[in-house]
Formats: sequence, C-alpha cells, structure tokens
Amino acid sequence: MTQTRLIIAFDSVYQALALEEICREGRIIPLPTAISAGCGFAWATSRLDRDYWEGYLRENGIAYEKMVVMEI
Amino acid sequence: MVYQFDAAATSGFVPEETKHALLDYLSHPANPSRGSYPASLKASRLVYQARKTVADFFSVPRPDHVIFTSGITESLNVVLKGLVKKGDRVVCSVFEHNSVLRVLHAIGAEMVVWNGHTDELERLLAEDVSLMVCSHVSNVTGGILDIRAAGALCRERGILFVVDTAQSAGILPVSMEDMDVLCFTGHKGLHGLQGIGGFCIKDQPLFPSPKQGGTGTHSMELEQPQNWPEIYEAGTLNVPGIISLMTGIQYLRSHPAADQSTLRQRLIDRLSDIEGIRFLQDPQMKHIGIVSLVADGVSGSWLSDQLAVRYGIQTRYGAQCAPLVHRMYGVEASLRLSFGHDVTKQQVDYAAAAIRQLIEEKRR
Repeated sequence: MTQTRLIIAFDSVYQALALEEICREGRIIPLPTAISAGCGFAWATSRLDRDYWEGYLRENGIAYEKMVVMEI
Repeated sequence: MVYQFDAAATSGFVPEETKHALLDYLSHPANPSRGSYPASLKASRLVYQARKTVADFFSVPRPDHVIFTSGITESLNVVLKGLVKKGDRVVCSVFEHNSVLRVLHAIGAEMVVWNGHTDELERLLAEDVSLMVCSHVSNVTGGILDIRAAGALCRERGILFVVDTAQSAGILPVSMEDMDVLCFTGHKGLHGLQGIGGFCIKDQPLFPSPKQGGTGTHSMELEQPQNWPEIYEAGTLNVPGIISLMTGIQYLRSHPAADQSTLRQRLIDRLSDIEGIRFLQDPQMKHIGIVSLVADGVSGSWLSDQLAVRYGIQTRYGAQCAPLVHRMYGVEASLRLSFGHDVTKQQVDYAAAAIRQLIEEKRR
C-alpha cells in the first residue's frame, strides 16, 4: 500500500537528527533514490504542507536539501 | 592498593555511568549514520547527543562543529597540517608536547617559542606570524598558560589561535570563545576511553577535508561532502569512545574537578627540604595537580620503579614527550606525579613519605 508523504532530504545526518530531536510529526527513513542519489537519512511526514515545514525548519535553524511530496 | 599519580597520562577512572552506557550499547552495537533501523538510529542519536554535550561543555556555538578523532594527537595533526605550510612562522610555547612540536617540524614551519609569560607574547606575535598554537596546561609542570589573554592578542592581530587542551579539559574551564580551534582528548580529565578525542572549530571551515571516505551521505559523489561534520570526518566513528566522552562530561557536571593546587603545594612542601631536590615549575604561574621533580644523585627511573613496586604509586619518569621544557630546566627527564581526580591529602602525604624514604635509602 502506498502512502503520500512529504519527504525532507538533508545534506547531513546531523540535520536529520536535529529535526528528530524536536519534532514528533514524522520519522527518519532511508533517503529514497527518487529524491537524491546515494544514501543518507530523510524525514517522512504525513503533514504535506510545504510552507509549514519551510517555516518550521527555518525557525529551528535546520538546513535541508530538498522537500518533495511523493508516494512511498 | 594502587595510587594514581599518573593522571596526566590517562585518567585511570571510568565513571559507573559510563560502564552502564557502554554495556547497554555493546549489547547491540550498530554503525551510526548508516541505517534507519532502531539500533543504527540509536547509535546515531548517541553520537548526536555527544556532539551537543561536547559543544555545551566547551561553549562551541554549533554542535556539528565538534569533530571526532582518535585523540588529540590526530586532532593536532589534522588541524596543523591543514593550517600551516612549510616556512610559516608559528608561535608555540616552550611547554608544547611532541604532538605539536613534531607536527610543526614535519611541516617545516619556523617555530617561535614563547616562554609562557603573557607580557612576552605581545612582542612575539608579530605581523609575519601565521598561527599560534599552545597547550593550555603544561603536561610537565602543570603550569597554566593564560590562553584568554593569548586569544585576545591573536584576535586583535588576526592570527589564528589553536589550543591543546589535553591537560586542562575537565580540570579547568575551557571556552571556545578564547580560540579559533580547540583540540581535546577524551581519556584524561574528561574520564572517557582511550582512542577518542576531537577538535572544534568556531566559525567557517578553515582548511580542506583532511581525509576522504564513507559518510553515509551523497555516496554517489566522489567529492567529500562539505557539510558539517562530514567535511572533517570519514569512516565509522568510534561509538564506544564517543559514548564514554559524553558520559564522562555528564559525570563532571555533577562531580566537577576539585582544585588540586593546594594538594600540589602540600606535596612540594613535604619534599622541599630534601637536599638536591628540584621541582620543574615557574613561580609566576598557577598550577594544576602536576609535580615534576629531579633529585641529585638519585635516578628518576629507579624512583618511579620503586614507587610502583614497593608502594603501589603510579608515576611517570621520562621527558613526558615535552623536550623543550625539559631543556629549559637543564634536564633530560623528570619524575612526574600527576594527581588522580579523587586524590586525598593522605595519599599525597603517603607519596611524599615514600619519595623521601627512597631518596634517603639511595643516598645512605
């Protein structure tokens, strides 16, 4: 069964863990290749509001690389 | 019974909290920053929390600017080889360990040696100096260098300032505010395991990636990622060491290091009337709990050995990897007593009595 999720990719694992420390709306998953080649962590959340997440990450000083809504 | 008077070499103490944390981790070890299954995530979170703990302890503005290494020797190698070129003029102190001196020598830097007195530094930090590196505390004399004043002078003159906190971290307050690069080790005053250390950079990356390898990120790119901390880290981290560093610092939060200067003076007072005994120290400096001495006509090698064999007192004899300070005092080696974190008056008196007995025995 596929689910629609907003996926946030990071340049550094540190940033993913910084988000996990303060946020309960989602969880860490392996970085989907559809977003970025290679490996690493991504944040998957059912809250699909991109504006909300951009503001939230900015407010908390967390740098991200990409933000994509996709079926996983 | 064993008496720890070699804490400048390694703490000799591991907090119970560290043992519990290590047993917990070792029951299911995993590689951090690699998988998103529970054990790997748990390891990732431990490393993340450790960076925050170190950053908070040293007032580093950003936890991802805490870089883990195998110890302070690797830290100083990486930092100095990244910042210093052949022929550069570098100010270092007479108290430097070979982890600084040999690196500068290998690079081919021109060393300008500071005697540790702040008033002398103003003259040495000339325009053509590219960097200053110094120990916060001498591993031979226990003398404390005024790194706050040195840092202020370096800042004023635009000179990068690197500090070796091997003997001070966990013993004295150390703040990133006073320096550009802070190098630390885990297994001395921070009561961590051997094989863990690191360095912290205050602002922007100061030199290129010293090593390349797996980071668990951007794996299809051949260039080393330039994000913090991956820019300076590659390969599997020493997670047990990192855990021990974190729990060691947490232990220090509730059990701060005691001021051992009074005990240090007590030891010196109990020995100073022995004929021909000399202490390697600078009367103008304050000191932590380290005493190095020589006694005329008595081999320090024999003293150190007999203290261990007959009295259970762990000391170190030799040049302590610090040749310049020994040359300054006109000797090639000394007997060093460096106090364990929980040393008592009684233990200091016991050590003093043992040294006195041995010297008297040798001279009979």
